[in-house]
Amino acid sequence: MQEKDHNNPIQSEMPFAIVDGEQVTELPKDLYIPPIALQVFLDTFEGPLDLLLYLIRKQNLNILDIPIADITEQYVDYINLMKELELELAGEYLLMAAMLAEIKSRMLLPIFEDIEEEEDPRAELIRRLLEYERYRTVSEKMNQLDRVDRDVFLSAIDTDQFNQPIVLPDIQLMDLVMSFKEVLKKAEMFSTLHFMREPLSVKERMATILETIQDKDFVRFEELFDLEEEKMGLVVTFLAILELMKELLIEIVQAKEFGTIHVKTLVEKQ
Amino acid sequence: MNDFNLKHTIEALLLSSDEPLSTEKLFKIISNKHQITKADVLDSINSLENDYLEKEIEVSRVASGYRIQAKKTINDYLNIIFAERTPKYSRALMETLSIIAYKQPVTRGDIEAIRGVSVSSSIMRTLTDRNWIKIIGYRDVPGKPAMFSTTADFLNYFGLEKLEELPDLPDIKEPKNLDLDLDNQSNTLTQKEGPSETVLN
Repeated sequence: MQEKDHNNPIQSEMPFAIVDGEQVTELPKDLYIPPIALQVFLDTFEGPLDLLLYLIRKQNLNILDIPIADITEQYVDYINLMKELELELAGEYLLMAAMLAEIKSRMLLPIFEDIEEEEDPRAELIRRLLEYERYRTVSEKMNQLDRVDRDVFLSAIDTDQFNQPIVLPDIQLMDLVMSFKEVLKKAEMFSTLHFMREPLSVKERMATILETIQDKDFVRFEELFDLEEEKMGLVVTFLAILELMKELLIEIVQAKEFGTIHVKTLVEKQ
Repeated sequence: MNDFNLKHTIEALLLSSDEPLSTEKLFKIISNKHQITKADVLDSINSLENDYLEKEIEVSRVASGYRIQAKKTINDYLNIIFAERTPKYSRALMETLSIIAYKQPVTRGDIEAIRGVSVSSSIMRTLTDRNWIKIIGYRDVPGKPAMFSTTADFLNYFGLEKLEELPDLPDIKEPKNLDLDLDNQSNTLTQKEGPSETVLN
């Protein structure tokens, strides 16, 4: 930026303040303006289209015939100002600056009459500006519509306080008993079933058998079994007999085929 | 139940309800217990409106039905009571909302194309949270972008019955003569855009 020159104000530069009639286009170097203060102003632009429209409308320019060179210069000045203030600059602003520069350079190219479809380089930008302006305008109108809590206030009885009274049903004694029964029934389901083995020991059974046959020469095999015992007991007895045989404490004798089996002790009688 | 009064019942329902009630809904609620017709409901509402002529409240009809609201004549007082409650919405939000309202269904891309800036997620969230907009489908193009449209709550909030009641979208002044003027490459076109009330100050 240049030094201020009151006699020759630079047209394209957008003064952001006027002090004593002088347009200030450059931040005084020795003055500290909190960036936030200027941010308020710059932040009011809702993007590059908004900023462009502002520049165009402010100078009452014909939007259909934008002096693209001037507008580009002004636009870039704003961008630079924003940069200088170290404001966060959305990428869209830079994209638009590039687009303006492109349009500007294409405007300088000669127009070839024979290329029918060649559009004015500004056409797309103008279309976008006009389209954006439609919605910008209508959003301002919408903003003036009656709004709840701003222009319209709704009646609202606070019904939260009218909680429905809770009606408690009468309970008969029988119902209580019945439900207690249910509880018991359920509790039963949770009780554990304990299974206990009858303490059966092969060693002990061996001793019993020995004792039984001690005094007699022969004992019939079947006699050793207590039929009132369950299967488990019978098996233990049988195991005890086999064990005794293995230890050569008893002998199994069969007199003839299919005859009775006898058990005989091998322990010497005292 | 001889002392059942339909008008008073409807009045109490409208006063208590958080949301506007339609004639259908009122009919459904009340006809459960009482022999009434929809015409009776409408008659009662009309009668209520008459009753309120001399009061500072009124029955208003919006998209989802009827609601009872204070007349604007007492807004000066209400604004004091509800000073803190008045929500303020940014220009960016209003622009986004108006694009959705007028061009629905639109994708984020559509909004960005018009506004020239990326759509702020927080704005979309605010609009969705307020239940003003909703996703009504996904456009069948790569990326399957969500399409947004406005809701009945949106209309209710702005006191509208239907979308047609929104302010007219200004016409685009041009494209037909646009090419022509540009071809001339002259500044002869002096069509004034009028003092731009849209200019920021």
